[in-house]
Amino acid sequence: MRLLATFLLVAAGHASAQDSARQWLDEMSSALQTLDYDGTFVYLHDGKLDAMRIIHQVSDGGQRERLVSLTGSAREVLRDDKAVTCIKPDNKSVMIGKSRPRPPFPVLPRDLGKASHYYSIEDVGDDRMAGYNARVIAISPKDEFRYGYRFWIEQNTRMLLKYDLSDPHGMPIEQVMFTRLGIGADIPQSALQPSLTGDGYTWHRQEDVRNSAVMSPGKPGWQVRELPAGFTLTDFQLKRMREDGEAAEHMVFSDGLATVSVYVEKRTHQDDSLNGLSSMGAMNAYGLMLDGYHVMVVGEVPPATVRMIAHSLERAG
Amino acid sequence: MKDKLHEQLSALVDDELAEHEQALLLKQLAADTALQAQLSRYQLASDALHNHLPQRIDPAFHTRIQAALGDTLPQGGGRSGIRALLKPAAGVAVAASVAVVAVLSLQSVRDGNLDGAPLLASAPDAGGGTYLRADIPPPAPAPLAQGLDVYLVNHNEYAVNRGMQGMLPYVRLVGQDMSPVVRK
Repeated sequence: MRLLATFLLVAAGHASAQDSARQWLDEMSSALQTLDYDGTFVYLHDGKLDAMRIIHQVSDGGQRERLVSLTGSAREVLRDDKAVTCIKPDNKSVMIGKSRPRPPFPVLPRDLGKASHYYSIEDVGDDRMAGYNARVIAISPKDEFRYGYRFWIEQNTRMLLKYDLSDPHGMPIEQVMFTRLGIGADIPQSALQPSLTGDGYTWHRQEDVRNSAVMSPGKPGWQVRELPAGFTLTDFQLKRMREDGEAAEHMVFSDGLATVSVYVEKRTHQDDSLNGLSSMGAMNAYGLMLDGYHVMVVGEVPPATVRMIAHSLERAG
Repeated sequence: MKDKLHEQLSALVDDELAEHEQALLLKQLAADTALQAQLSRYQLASDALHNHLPQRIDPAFHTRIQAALGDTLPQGGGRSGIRALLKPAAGVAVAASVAVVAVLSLQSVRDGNLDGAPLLASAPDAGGGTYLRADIPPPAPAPLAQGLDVYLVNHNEYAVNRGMQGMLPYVRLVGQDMSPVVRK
């Protein structure tokens, strides 16, 4: 009887610790979306270091964000509730995509509940980071199909101060660490304006495709035969990835934390240029040609995951 | 041996290198362009970590280190020349050791190698490294990276909404040297 009571107490304590860790993550996610902040951070990946500045402002008009590189070419990403604009001076291009509306409140409680089947979530304790008191929350994958995360969260505002992303064996892949962070900063409008006009650049626009005669919305023409446990279809759209291209089917799968996109686009000619595995820090992409269609799988998941998904794609029955 | 040199470079940036070691290190720096480049990377890391990065850094910073070494060594190996260079180049020189340790730990587990110089930035080693918001046009990115961009931008919108890191998925697009490594 005493043993059972001890077990129940330990189990209750463990559940409580998990709930506490989830609460921290939930509040961090909310802080990233609802606070005004202006910070500089370093991004470590593949043995390299980049410095960037991020500015985030919330107003009646919604969220506005600007991310700009401080090292190398002055690349910028600007985002508001309507569009994402990516400016790349190094290849003189501007890409404009449609932004997806963000939920007014984070969806994390539900998703983290699902994710806890595939990840261990742990409250590691206190630390100091960038001059702030931080709480460290670790998320460890339970299989080899997803990455692990470790977040340093500011204790008063719940703002993210640092995160590490590691492979399924705990080996670090990426690290983002703020070196200066102004929370609740008074942000001038000029700070959210691009520093480049894009004059003389090549502009690319992405479009959603509506009223397609090919297939009815909401019903993918393709399916993935082998998905890692926990990944489910969360979105489906038809999207023209290039102005002169055919509409691509875009399926989105998530396990509650990681997200994987699958694009299937008809090609009139064999195109091997994007075939195989491409790795950029924690982002992996795998492309292949299949029956005259180009398949591209992209996600913040290990190479084995994107490869498995790409090779198990088949036409829906 | 290289680890020792890197420790000394870090200590120099931190202003913590013993006097008797400075003279020897400066001599080695004068003769080793890779070491000079390493020093400028450490300084960049230090300034990035302490928010001392200006909007622009003189692309000739690396060359100026060489010139300073030339000026300094004949006068007995003092460090006033190089210290004077380090400070105005990117603000106040402060501890680089945190960044160096972070990068070393990241690189060592990825590459299984601590002997090679940790690469802290993507700029070239010689010829006036253009670390920051360069006036000099950077090398053209691989066509492959451009083709992938459309997928990454689109995918990020879903990762941004479902993930916990806010805007941070876009960090990979803004980051330099993101041309993918293709393994068929």
